[in-house]
Order: sequence, then C-alpha cells, then structure tokens
Amino acid sequence: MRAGTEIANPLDRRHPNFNFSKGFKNVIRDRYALLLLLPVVVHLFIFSYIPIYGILISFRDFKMGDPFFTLGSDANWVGFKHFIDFFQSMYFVRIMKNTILNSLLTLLIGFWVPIVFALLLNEVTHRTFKKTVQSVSSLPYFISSVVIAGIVISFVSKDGLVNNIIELFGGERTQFLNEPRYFRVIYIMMHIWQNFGWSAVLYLASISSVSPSLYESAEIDGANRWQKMIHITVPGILPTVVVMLILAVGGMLSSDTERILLLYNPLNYETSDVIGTYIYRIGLIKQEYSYSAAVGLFTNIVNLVLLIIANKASDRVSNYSLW
Amino acid sequence: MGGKLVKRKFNLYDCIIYLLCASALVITAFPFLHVLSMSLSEPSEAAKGTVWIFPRGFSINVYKMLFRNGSLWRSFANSVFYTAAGTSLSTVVAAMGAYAMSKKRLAGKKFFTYYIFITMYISGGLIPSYILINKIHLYNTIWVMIIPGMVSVWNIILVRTYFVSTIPASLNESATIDGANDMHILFRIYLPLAKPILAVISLYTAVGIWNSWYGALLYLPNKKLQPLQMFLANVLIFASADLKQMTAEEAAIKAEGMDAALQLRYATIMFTSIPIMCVYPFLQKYFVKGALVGSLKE
Repeated sequence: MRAGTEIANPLDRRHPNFNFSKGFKNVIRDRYALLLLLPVVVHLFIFSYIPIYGILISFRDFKMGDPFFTLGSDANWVGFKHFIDFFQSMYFVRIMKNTILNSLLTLLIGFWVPIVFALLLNEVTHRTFKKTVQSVSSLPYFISSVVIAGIVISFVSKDGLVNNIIELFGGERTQFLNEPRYFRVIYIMMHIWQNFGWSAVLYLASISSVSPSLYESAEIDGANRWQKMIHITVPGILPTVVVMLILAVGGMLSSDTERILLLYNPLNYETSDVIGTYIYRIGLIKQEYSYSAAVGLFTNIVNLVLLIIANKASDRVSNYSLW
Repeated sequence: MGGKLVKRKFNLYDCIIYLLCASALVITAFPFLHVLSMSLSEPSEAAKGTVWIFPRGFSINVYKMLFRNGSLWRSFANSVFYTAAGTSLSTVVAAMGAYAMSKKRLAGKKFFTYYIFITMYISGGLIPSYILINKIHLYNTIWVMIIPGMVSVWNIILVRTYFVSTIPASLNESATIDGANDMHILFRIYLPLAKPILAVISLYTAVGIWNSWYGALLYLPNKKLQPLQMFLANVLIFASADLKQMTAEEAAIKAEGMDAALQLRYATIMFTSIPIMCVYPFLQKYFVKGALVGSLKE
C-alpha cells in the first residue's frame, strides 16, 4: 500500500527520488542524538552567531535603546566612518605600537624560557627534586591573574619588596607603575613568571613521549648528552613548539587584555594601553559602542590573517598545521 | 631520559643544571614566602621593610580583620556557587554535544562540524556580546556568570576525541540493535566509560571559572553578586569601596602608628591562594593529562 502511493505521487516526500526524504528520515533516525546536540547549537547561535551578526553595528551609529537586528533605515548607517575615525585618531599609533610591542617582546623574551627550562629539567635525574621543581614552578599558572597582579603591584609599590631591595643597595624608592618606561618590563616579567613552569611541564610531557629506543641507539653510536638533546629531544618536541608558536602569533593582537587591565593605570597608558583595554574603556565606560565595535572588528580581522599566515608558514616549514 | 639507562657520575654540567633548576624553584616560591611572612609579621616590623623570607614577630591580626569582612565571605560563597553550577552544566552539555558529534553517521554532521568550528576562529568581539547580554536581560543577574560560558568548543573536541578513540563503535551499534536509543547509550554506557576525561575537563572548567573576574567586571556591577576574584580585584587592584569597608578597622591600627594596608593585601592574597597551593600538587597529574589529551586533538 505504501509502495503504491510512492510510485503514484512523485511529489510525495517519501518518494525514492525525492532527496529531501532521505535527509528527513535520517533526522528521524538521529532524533535523540540531535536533541543531545541541541543545547550546543542553540547556545552557539545565541552567544556566538548573534554577536557575529552584531558586528554590523560598527557600520552604524548605535545607542543602547536602538533596535539591534534592524537592517533598514532606522539603523543609522554610517559606512566606514568609525574605521576612518580610528585610523586617524591620535590613539591609533599608540595602541597599535603597544599591542604589538607587548606581544612581540613577550614572545621573544618569554617563548624560549620554558623550552630551555624543560630541557634542563629533563636532564635532572633526581626524581623528587624534579617533581618538586615542576610542581612549584607550574603553580602560578593556576593562581588567578588577579592575585598574581596583586602580588606584582604590591611588590613594585613604593613600600614594597622591590623598593626595599633597592633601598638596601642605596637606591631611591620609585613608584614603578606610575612611570611608563617600567611598564613593559613589569608586564613581561609577570607573564613569564606566571607561565614558564606550566609551559615547561607541557614540553616535558611531550619530551617523555619521545621513544627511548632513539636514545639507546644514539648511546650505542657514542652520542653524548648534548648531542642527544640537540638531535633527539629537540626534534621530538618541535611539533609542540610550533603549535605553541602559531597560537602565540595568532593571538598577537589580543595581547592579554585582562592582565593589562589589572596592571595599568592612567599614568602609564603611554606604554600600557593596548587595543583590548582601549575597546573596554571607549566601549563600556564611554559607551561609544559602534566606534569600539569597529576597533574590535579591525583587530579580529588582523588576528585571523596573522593566524592563517602563521599556520601556512608552519605548514611549509615543519609540515605541521592547525587545520 | 638518558639517566635511567646509564648511571653517570655527577659532573660539572649536572651541578649547573641542578643549580639553574633550583633557582627556578626559588624564583617561583620566594614571592609567596615573602607575602606569607609579611602577612604574619608584627605590623611594626612589616612597615619597616625588613621582612624577607621569615616573619618577624608574629601576629594574625590582619587575618582576623580580613575574616570579619562580610563581603569576602559573600563573594566566596558566590564563587562556590558559580563554579559548581557552571562546571556541572558545562560538562554535561559538552558530553552531550560530543556524543552526537562522535557518531559515525549523524544527519547534518558536516554542517554541524562547520557550525561549531567556525566559532573558534570568528567572534563578534566584546561590544556586540555586551549589547546582546544587555538586550536579553542577562546583564547584572547571576545567570550572566553561568550561561554565556556554558559551551566550550574546546571541551566538546576533547570529549569527542576521547569517545572516538577509546570506545569502540561496535559497542554503540550493538546497543542500538538491542533497542537502546542515543540518550540511553550516552548516559548508561558512554558517560561511565568516559569518567577520566570528564574529570579532566571539569577540573579545567572549575579552575577557569574560579579564577575568572573579567566577566564580572563587564556584566555584573552588583557587588552582592560578584565572585571572589572580582572582590579581590576591587581590594587589591582597583582599591575601591570594599577596601574602605576595611578602613574603619585600619584606622584603629593607623592610630597606633602603623599602616596595615599592605599587610591586609598580603593576607588577602594568602587566604585565597593557600587552598590552591594545598590542592594543586595532588591534582597536577590530571592537569597534565588534560593538556596532553588536548594536544592529541583530531
């Protein structure tokens, strides 16, 4: 009976030539699985896709009471006005320079520290010592940035530890965070201090996955410690290193807004103000939503381009890429 | 590595290596020791700036002062709630999504894969999200601490990878033949088998939520609802109202000619980090495990 109707009516959704019917059947078959996926789909739609659509406000003059989804004439379209304003503003050069310098210096100074530390730790044979060093040095990574920044601010404050040491050696007390020229050093040190131990633990884990037989055969060939490190360990962790590097380059313009927000103050904006903190101040404090959304869009585009370039480069150099 | 194979003599290189590692140990541990001993020192000694590694004199007055602060305990309780609720919801949702995506055949699988992955690389940014949170009336409610961060694509990938690589597809097939639907299969078969990975992602999520403050800064101006880290940021960094609440007590100490502000900050830092310091060494291997699973993605 069912077969009969299918032949009789080709427009019937259950007709074998009707492609949609197969898809629909699959939906029915997978209904429970799809139901399980539903929260994720809905959540991403609301909290990821709607904001992506919301990027349109950077081409409008948006105020909080305005309609959000509109595409019509009530949207106050202004074209690229906000982008042009941003490129021409006196802040553009300052925040671009700070963002790039802060990330680049952190990368240049901080990137090799955990690698070297991991290679050193790998040579340590005393197990308890090795474990203790690992646990203690990776701990700061799991302590909140607020607390770490709190420690840093206290240490470099006028009555803090750093000034106590300086005074001990006969120097003058300085309010370090109020002087722009010290900001970068403080920020980079804090970043390295909080991260190097944990990154080293990750590198160590990837070192331990290098096959022991490689070391054995190298030893038979008479390789010394140094040669084993350079020719076996280092190539062994290279993929991990490359992935870390891609991610670091890809996130270059996102430069740790949270940590800078905790450390900076108006007296050191000259060297501390970055894109993220600028967006926060202009967007949420001054409530210039459209303008700061435009700045955000610009950053995201540059970040995406950087990520793609870094990924391409690593694909070419080491045959390793994120996608 | 090499050391396990051949017993070597302890030479000059070893000396240098051990020395460098020991200095890394000192560099990370010293700040905490200093903070601890400062907070425990006699206020007069602390103010002189002569405390280095060990406390001079002994006083727990600043801790007493700290514990009397109602905002501290309230924000602490808030954080416990946000962490518990956020972690359990996020883990369950990730497991559900991961199960669906781990199925060999799923209607629209390709579409959903793109749909999920795109959000990792493209985002609307801070301002559109802020406006959205306002428009849907999550702003300044407890939900803003739980719902927007509920789905982590990263966690979905981790759990999915675990499902695919450790649970044989035949198990799923035979259960289906026995008449079990996907709900049953996930909750009765997959979840019990996936406990290790669920523990790992819960741990990461919990630490992430516990340590986060930025969301509260953006979306939760109501001080009564703020989490511990936001309270800390107010006290330690922005030096706003919460500190003034303490200054009544401080004034009493100041009257005696001592400045407790720095000590109070140090006590606050210690109070909030000591629990993590005590627990972390035992959990470290799980954190490493999680990070390793992460690097094996796809």
